[in-house]
Amino acid sequence: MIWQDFLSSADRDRLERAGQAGSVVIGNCPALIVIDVCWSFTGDDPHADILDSIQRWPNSCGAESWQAVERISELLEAARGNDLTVAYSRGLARADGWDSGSWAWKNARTSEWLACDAASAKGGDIVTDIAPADEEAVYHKRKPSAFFGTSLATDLRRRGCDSVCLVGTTTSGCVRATAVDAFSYGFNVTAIADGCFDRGQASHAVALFDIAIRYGSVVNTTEALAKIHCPKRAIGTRSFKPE
Amino acid sequence: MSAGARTGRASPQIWDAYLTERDRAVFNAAGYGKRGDFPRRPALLLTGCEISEIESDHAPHTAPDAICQVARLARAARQAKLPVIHVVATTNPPSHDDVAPELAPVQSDIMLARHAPSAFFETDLMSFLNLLKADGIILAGGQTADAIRATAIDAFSLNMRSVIPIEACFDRWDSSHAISLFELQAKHAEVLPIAEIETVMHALPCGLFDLPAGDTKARRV
Repeated sequence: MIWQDFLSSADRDRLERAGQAGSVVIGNCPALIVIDVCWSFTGDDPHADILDSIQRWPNSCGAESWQAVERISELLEAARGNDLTVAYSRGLARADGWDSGSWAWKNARTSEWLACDAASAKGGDIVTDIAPADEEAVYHKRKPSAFFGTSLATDLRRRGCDSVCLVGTTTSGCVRATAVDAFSYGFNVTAIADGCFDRGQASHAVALFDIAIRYGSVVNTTEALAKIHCPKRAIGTRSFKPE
Repeated sequence: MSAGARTGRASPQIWDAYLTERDRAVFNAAGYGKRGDFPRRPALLLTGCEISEIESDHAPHTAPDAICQVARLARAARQAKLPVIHVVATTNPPSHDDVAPELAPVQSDIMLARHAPSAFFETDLMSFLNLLKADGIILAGGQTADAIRATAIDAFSLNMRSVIPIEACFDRWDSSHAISLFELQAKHAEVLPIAEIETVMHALPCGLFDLPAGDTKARRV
């Protein structure tokens, strides 16, 4: 798996010994949640170097964003074709930035987050390639988790959803925070590794590792698609031992 | 600007070995890792320090040392008359006997139970913090990438400040521990050596808090 290169040798030994059998349980009624895939996180040039992209879009995750957007596109098509619940999240802040709160405590460029939105008039919009359909809910949030300060948990329960499949960005930030809350609310959690992206390489890999060993399961799009196409048989087991 | 220069700390960090060169450049360029303020009215929050947790087969080898450091912080907090809150992942109400003996609750301590990674999730922690008029938490115990991190993220979402003492946290997985501390110091919290936190604690004004003075044990009302 992707995290292999980012583990200490002691961790690799421990993982080998423990076997870490994690079960992949997508559940009978999964919802696909697309987290924060907005221009401000992808930038607008799929070929730009991440460090160049960050100059204009402080939160850009670079080229990896666009590889993940392709996977998300495939997953959305399958989810819609199989009548699964699809939900999106995106960030929200007052235009004057007054409510940045804790974001501004640790980041020196938060004032640009709003400026880059105003300049392009699209920074906070969901990337066009994977835009939500009319009937799909978009949750506006001010903080990392898509559950924090939103009605996502209630809405998922009302729809009878028993599990969430998470894609989007950043893997270690909003996706991970959403995974922890979903776990705490009692939903089965699946993160789709190649549908997630992060500005940090180690952050991306270790966030997926943490989700796999603590909160749920981690699969790639191919495996997720197979399960989405037959959700009633979506329960299986798989070892998280190094592949 | 290097991460060290930005945070005012040039010393080597536990996460250095896990980052790629690109990671270092990207986090600096994106503006993360700015030094934030220490809370003016901090409560010390201890979690993951249950005997069942520390003595289990899954306990990390770093846990005993970290527990000594947690005890050191608890002593400093009690001396400075700051609230000490034990959030215990056992039955509700929790028992004194659930907690590692080095951290044995005293009369001014507060005890709560949690059932999810975050100490805020479906608990009345925020109600206690409001009662104390606390504006932040100093978070110690385990595990770094689970309860400590989840609690710090909820504190961040609640616009509460978090301080995390490097030596007083432990995790079963080295990489999860290191990378969680890296991300927390970059985005959500002040991740500091314990000595620095003690100094700040002792410099706080006396008598900031109206602490409980009776029996910490819960009784039905």
